[in-house]
Amino acid sequence: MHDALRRLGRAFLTEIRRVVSYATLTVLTVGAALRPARHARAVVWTQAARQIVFTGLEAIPLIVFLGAVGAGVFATIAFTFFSGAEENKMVVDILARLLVREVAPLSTAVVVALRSGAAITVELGSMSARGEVEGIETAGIDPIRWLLLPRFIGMAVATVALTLVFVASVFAGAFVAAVQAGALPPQWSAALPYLFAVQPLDIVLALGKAGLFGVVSASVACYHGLSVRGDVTEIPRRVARALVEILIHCSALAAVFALLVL
Amino acid sequence: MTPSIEIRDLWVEGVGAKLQGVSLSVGVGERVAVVGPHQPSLSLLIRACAGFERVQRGQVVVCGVEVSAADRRALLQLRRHLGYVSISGGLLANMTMRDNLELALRYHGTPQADASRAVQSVIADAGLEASADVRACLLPAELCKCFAYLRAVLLEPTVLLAEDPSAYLHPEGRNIVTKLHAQAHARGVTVLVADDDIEFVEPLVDRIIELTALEAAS
Repeated sequence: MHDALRRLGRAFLTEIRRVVSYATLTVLTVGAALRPARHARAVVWTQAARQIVFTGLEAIPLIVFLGAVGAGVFATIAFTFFSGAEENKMVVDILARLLVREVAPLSTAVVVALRSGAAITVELGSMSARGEVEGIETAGIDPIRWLLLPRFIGMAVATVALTLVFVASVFAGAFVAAVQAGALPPQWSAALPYLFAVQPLDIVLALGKAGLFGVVSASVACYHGLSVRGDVTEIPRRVARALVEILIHCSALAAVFALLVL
Repeated sequence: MTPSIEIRDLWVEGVGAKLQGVSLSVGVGERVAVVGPHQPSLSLLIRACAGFERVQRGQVVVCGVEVSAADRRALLQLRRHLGYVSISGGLLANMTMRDNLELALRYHGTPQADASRAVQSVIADAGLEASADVRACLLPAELCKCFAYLRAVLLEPTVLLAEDPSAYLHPEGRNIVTKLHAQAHARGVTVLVADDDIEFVEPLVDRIIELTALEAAS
């Protein structure tokens, strides 16, 4: 019993230390963003734009597919069970609340973590193992500004933008399912009243959470990438840990948000 | 002569190597080689001068900055004035050599056109045009080392630090490195190199310091 408690305490302290490390990395990166560096700006923005294209633009087809199919399946099942006008309204409310506010940012964060979080950990891990991070420092280049800041910007911006794409796909998928189920006529205008069921607060919360998830994913992915020391066999272990931790932290944050807003 | 690099009673430990109580001084514009049988310990000395190793005891002062006590920002500022060549070169593997060199200049505010011109000039001078547009990961270690030297001197440093400059170099690469050292000397750059190949470093420097087995231990 005594040993079990000690182990639990140790595990808890390790987790706290890790969260503090992620927070420190985030603070250092935000600090680098706020500190004026006129010269490096162009180089940093080029890197950030590349990250946005990779994390955001290239993930659009996957996000559209997941959003439309997920919402279509959910709506088809819901319309099968509920067929009255009142019940249809309830389905739309659930779609708006659950999918837009909760599922959209979390699903987008999962996709971003699987695609870009893993890629960032592998890339930075390889760079650390090959001595490239130290190499750029020897040229007076700040790795936080040149390596981390663009990845933080890219992940946050792309996660917010992809969440909007996910929401649009959810509505398109749900609309097609509603038409198929005979709950709506096959005109886009018929869906407009239902679109207005989504409150501005729902959108604000979804985008706010998405931005936060993007920053958390970038922080965890970068931390594990930069923690690789010389041994390339460490990279797959770090990637696995980074992905698990991103999913845990984002889910925990989503739960906290949901409890606060309920 | 005012010292550009001042090391007093340095104690530092790395992977499989340590330095115990090393002291030396390098004047402004002076060229010094530290030699000894154990290269990892010699590298440790150069890495400590650039602030890449945690100093356990003693003091390292480079260009008036106490490296052993400097924070991250002070070190970055100092490295802007240091030319540093690691054993493997530390170039970005997925970038071409030309991009690697231009990045250093562009990050420090040189306009694109000027950076391209300066890089083309040093590459042509070293006779390395044929490999300039190849990614670092596709080139042999010798060429990577030569380009790492070019990157180090491109920023016109006041101090040049090199860990094991002879590593990976064949006669052609050695000629390029020797020429770059001569150019740096002509500009009055302070040089500190650490190498276990005394024959190679002898013509590059004014003074050779040998680390005793007691100072450099594995």
